[in-house]
Amino acid sequence: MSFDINTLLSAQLHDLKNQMQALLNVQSELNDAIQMDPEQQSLMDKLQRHSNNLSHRLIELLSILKIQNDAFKPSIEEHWLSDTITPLANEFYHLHGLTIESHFDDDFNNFYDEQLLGIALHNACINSLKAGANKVILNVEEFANGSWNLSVSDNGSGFSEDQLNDQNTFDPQGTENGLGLYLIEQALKAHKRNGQTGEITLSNNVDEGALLIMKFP
Amino acid sequence: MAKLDAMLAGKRILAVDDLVESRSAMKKMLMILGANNVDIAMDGDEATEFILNNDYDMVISDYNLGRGRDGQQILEEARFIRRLKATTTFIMLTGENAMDMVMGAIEYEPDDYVTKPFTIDIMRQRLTRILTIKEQLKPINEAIDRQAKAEVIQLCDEYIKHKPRLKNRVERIKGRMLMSMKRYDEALALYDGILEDREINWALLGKATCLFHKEKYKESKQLLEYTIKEHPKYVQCYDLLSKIHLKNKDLKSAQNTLVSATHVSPKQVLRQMELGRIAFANQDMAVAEGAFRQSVKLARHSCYRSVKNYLFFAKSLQHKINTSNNREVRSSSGDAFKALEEAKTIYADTPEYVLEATMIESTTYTNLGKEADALAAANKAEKMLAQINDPSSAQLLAMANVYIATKQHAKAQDLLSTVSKRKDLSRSEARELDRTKGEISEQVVRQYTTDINDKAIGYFERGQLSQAIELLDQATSYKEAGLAVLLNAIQVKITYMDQRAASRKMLDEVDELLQRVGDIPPSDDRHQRWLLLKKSQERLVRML
Repeated sequence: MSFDINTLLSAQLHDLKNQMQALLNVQSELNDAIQMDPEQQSLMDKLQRHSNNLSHRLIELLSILKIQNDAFKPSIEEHWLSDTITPLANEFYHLHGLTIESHFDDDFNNFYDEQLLGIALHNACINSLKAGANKVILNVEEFANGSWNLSVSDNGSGFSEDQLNDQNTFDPQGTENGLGLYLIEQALKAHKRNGQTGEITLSNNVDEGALLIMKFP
Repeated sequence: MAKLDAMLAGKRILAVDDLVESRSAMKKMLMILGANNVDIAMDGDEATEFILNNDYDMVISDYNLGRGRDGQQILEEARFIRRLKATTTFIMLTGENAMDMVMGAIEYEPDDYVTKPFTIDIMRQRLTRILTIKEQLKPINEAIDRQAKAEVIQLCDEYIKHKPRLKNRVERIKGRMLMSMKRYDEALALYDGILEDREINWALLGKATCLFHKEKYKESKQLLEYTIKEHPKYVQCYDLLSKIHLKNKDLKSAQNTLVSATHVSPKQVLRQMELGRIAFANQDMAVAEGAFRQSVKLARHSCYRSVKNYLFFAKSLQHKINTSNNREVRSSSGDAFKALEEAKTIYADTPEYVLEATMIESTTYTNLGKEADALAAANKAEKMLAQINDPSSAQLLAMANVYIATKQHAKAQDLLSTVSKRKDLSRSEARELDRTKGEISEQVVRQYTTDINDKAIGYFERGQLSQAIELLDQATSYKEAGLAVLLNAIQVKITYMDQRAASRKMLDEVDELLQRVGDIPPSDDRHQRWLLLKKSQERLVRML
């Protein structure tokens, strides 16, 4: 008899999550203890960068499992978008110098899988960084039928012609910085409502940078 | 939003986590965020103890607490015994895989949850939001704590109209309140409205619950089956589905449904208790045993502790207990005796419970083949029963069964005739009465008295007359005792008086036995013996 690979992966990843949580807890304690010491703070920043990266990778793996396996359903719950974004924005600013501005009401809430949206946004911001951006602007548009869009606009070099032309065939291969657009698209596709499925569209801003729109049904 | 440190300062907080590092780190994190009064607990038992003895403003608990009860159990029990008010905030820390189990609860859901892994930044953001919403909902929660249900509904309607961002949360409270007021039509309309817009798991369960109460079992069942397919970990759906099966008198499906639920969430005490009861009724003792074992363990330090768990656990173990002295039998009987002892200790002030435990103890000894111990326990139970004013039919029937198992058929028969005269027997009691009567049929008694008679003859032949008399007294105490047994009893007593001395008491007993024998016609082989015995009796009377 052999292990069911999905069950094994899920169990191991959730266990890893607990270990990760313990590390993050210790890290925040350490961070509190060494405040105001520039030399130690620099080491702390490195530690934080690596552990955050590890944490994201872990969530990414769980997200892939969720997306690719019917046994793991998305958890579409009501969330406040600024709660999901603020920690991510703080992290990108602190660790990568990328500013994320939220141009929407702090009280905006809607239904989505927080883990999947988090991982989608994380990948979108990594893409922006790779494209040389130092600023990302987030906007929300709500529609009368309950659907909503989250647009991610940056000041980088924009999407390439190839990317804009191949919007229906995102590459599922891993990249140095994660799974990029493929994972973002899959995260949106996991959102379904009243017979409709989430999707993404790519374009470039008129003046500069890329515009990624996440459409939630 | 208000500042988190201001919101946390002065709040009494309980943090629960089974991992020592996580526990202290959680406390530290809360202190960094502004809390200054944090208690920590390591498991469900300790958390419950803290909650019973302190008034908390906020509880933050890990869902998975290792081997004992989980975070959901702490929440349910604390709210059930009203030690956590609606205004108290309960936050669950959970892996995403437990989300449906945590946030789907209709009656006892936490205020919110935080998924692992989280950083202090994420925690700050979530706590700020959760406490802000809690503050906004305070008037509704205060009305809930006052049990002012009409006011809750009125406030909910105002919030839904004026605070659209809180609509989802307020509708959930309103639905729950309408159901608690048995206003199922209104609750149904509310859930239908929500589901038209979006399929939310708690609204699906809410609708199914309304349909159940409106006795629309088929529709409720269909909806639940659909919900379970979409949300396989939504255990509350299994509970309701099981109830529908029970309504349809399909006990096997009810059991199977609860078995599925316990695979998803094995630590819910009430579910394990229900599963145990249903499996016991189905005579599926393996499942009943497992469920009651869990019930005993999980409820030991909880508000759901019940003597029934202990007694049914001991009863469900009986299928494994027999006269072979192997490891399984020793372990099972050990578990049964341990559970019964614990029940007797905990419920020492309730004679009915101690009686029932003692009767099961007797049965356990019987199954082990330890007749003397079984009889001793039965005698204890008999004394306890005599102390109980107006014992119930169930108690009498149980005692009758103990008598039968310890071969005290005459006593069993007396109890059964007492029960037969009762006019308030329930259906199941009437069935049990018939079944027990069947066990004590004339044939059984006759065979039993014959067995005793054979043993008594052995004693008689060896000259052990006292032992022979004792056994034959036992045999003749049954009205079904046959002619041979009666004649032997007379014979032994007369021989005894011939060898020692005649006594009035024994002569009266002989006289009574002769009356029971009546006339034996000359055509009967035993006629001559009967005549001789009569003459001997008359001789002894004259000598007295």
